[in-house]
Amino acid sequence: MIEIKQFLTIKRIFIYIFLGILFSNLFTPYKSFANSFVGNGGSTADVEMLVTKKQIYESLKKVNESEVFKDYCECIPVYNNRNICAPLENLDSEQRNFCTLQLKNVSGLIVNLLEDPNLVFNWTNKVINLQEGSNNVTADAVANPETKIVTVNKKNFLMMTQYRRVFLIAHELLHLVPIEGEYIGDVGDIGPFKSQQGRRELINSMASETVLQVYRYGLFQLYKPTLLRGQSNKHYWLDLNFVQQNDLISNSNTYSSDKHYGFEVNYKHFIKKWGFNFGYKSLLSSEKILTSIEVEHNLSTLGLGLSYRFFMDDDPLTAFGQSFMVINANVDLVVSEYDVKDPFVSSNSKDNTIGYSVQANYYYPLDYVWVKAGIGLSSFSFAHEELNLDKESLNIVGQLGVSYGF
Amino acid sequence: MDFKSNKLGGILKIKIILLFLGYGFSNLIIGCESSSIKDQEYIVGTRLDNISSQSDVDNGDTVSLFDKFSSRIHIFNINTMELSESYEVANPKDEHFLIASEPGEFVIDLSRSQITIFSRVHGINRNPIHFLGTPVSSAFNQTNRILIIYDDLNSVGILKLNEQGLVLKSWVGGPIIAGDSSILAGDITSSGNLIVSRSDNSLAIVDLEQSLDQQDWVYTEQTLSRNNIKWLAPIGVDKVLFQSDEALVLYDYVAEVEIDILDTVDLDTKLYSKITDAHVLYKDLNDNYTLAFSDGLSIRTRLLTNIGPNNILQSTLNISQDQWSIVKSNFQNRLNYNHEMFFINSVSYQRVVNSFRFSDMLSLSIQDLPDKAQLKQSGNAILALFPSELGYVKRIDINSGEYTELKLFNMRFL
Repeated sequence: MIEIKQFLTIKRIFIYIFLGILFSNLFTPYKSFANSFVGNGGSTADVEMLVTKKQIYESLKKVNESEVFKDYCECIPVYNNRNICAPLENLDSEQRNFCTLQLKNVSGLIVNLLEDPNLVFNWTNKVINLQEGSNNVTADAVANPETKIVTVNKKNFLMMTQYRRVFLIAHELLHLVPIEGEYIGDVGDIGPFKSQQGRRELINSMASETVLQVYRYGLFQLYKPTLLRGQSNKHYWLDLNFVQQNDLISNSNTYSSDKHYGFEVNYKHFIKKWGFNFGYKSLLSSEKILTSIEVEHNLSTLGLGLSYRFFMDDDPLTAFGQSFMVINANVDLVVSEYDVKDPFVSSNSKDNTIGYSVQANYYYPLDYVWVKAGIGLSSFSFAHEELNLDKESLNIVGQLGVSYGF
Repeated sequence: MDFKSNKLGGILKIKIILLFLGYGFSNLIIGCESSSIKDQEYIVGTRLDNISSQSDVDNGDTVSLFDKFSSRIHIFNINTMELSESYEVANPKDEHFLIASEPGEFVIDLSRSQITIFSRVHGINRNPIHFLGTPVSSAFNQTNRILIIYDDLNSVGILKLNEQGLVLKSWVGGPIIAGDSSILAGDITSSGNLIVSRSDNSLAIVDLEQSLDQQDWVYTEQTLSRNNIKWLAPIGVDKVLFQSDEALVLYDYVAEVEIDILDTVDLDTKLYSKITDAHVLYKDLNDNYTLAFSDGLSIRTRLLTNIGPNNILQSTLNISQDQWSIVKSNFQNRLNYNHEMFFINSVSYQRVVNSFRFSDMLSLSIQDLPDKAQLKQSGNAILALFPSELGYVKRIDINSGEYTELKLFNMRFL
């Protein structure tokens, strides 16, 4: 048995660790990693990038498959006077026709490019500097036609609206497909775009038209829930659960209670699939025995253990794909406290014990937060001499709660 | 409330209900046992109680009680306030009455048609004798360890026990000892004989040892000139104090002579007590209390002018220690309720214990007693058993008012 003073000290240590982790992560929302590969949803901003590529892919595929020669490269009313239409506003008819023709020509190539496994997107947290002639310019992304590597500033990318992301990535993809037989940069003239920045104007016009196509086909709206939905790539998780615990081992002692209800706060830190969890659980059983005795049994648990996470599906753009299971195996410090009273006298007794628990929790994403449900087993024993109670407890534990990943 | 089906009980119940409704005192509930002066008359020994102590005989330090919440008999050492023994009863729904041995070696539990002896050494002995009725009174001679149990069908059970509570002999006799006359009242004398008054105005002195041996009444009898002796208490080794219709008499049953007589025709008997020295409280036509007792030589009386108009629920007289104490309550008076009650637990509210130096009737202390609790006086202390399901008793010193407590003693047994 652990003395109460020791228990309080351990409790304090747990609280300090917990607060330390919490604060350190609250104030450093993005870690300064070096360039990292854009994966399939396992990292921050992956989903945003996947959605952007998907929007470009699906819209340009429709453009490519379209038999009707539509009036592309012309702003639509909903975007009038907005930045996205700025590249299109000053086009003359010749430039518009050229833009339309080139978009039609390269749409298939971009679709193919997006299917090409050699196309690589890299994240960077550094400022991207480009040399354009004698000028140094900064950019949010840069594409290399030779290596087919697109490097994107992650922080800036995440701060963009959907249409800005589509514009940015479409712009970079247009550097990776031949236009008029060559891979073009941003400097120099091309076709009716006669200025020194003609190529940039053409690519921006085509990227703007791509944004309009995404809008036309409703792909911004379609993927809005995906972007709002919680993402499983977070490292830190805070759960708040309603808990019901039923004891599977019955005990004939009058004070023994089989059902407890309460709440749990749990913090998890994942490093890839594995992580650790730390939580506090407070459960209460309250009943009246005989005619006037009120019995309250409080089980307070501090738990620490390992967590293993696995996904139910590999498509990060669906809710099911984002959902995941977590298996926890914990060591618990359990404090059993009885308050027994009638109108004349009252009694309080405590016992501390070490227990063990395993749990399986399923997390399902909603907008910003997650719902979770879990089931598990916990085992511990406690004794209260005053109550003549010596109990082995094996509990089935049900949980329902919400979680926030950050 | 547990009223027996006597007439007074019925009237009392109706009155309480009417008062309860009339006054709207929803929180004033009288915790009642059946309580009538008649319950102290026409019995052998003393009326049974569900708390028993040895203090009735010698200021012992243990008190036994039946706790209906835990269905157990607890034996407390009231000096250390510890639970020294606890026994579970077989028929918890019934009312239980206790008789305890002096050193706490055994407890006799009487309930309806059941007698159980809980012995520290011999364990549990159920029904060593069989009754059809419900025990109403008992007499126990601690020296000879002879127990008389008297039930509501007037059967007389006799048990001879050893020091550890083992039944050595037993026999049950009917209320007619000889001829056609029945037992009216009686008690065990200090020498271990049973002395009873009978309906033919005679006394019978029963040799209990011989009666047990022969399984029949073995007795001598004496004819008296007194009518209807309804209460009787031994005084010393050869005398009894008895109440007949017309007088309180000190009688020497060895010399067969009336030593002293108190004419009680104009007095209203309010209380009989055998704790510790036998005495009787009367009220005269002017509502003055008179205490009558015997010093062994005569009947002495005192007009009590300083006890107030309260109902006296219990009176304890110890002449050798120069002590007299009464437990009284003004609860009913406050309700303008005139029915009088005569037992310490007849009323659960507004009780006080008033102790006196008996020689000059100096009032030494007045202590409030706890409401709702069941009380038992043991020497200079009162044990208060509260209606707590978890268990709560309080020992209150009559003289100083200091108290010690024992809590939660039922908790382990629920």
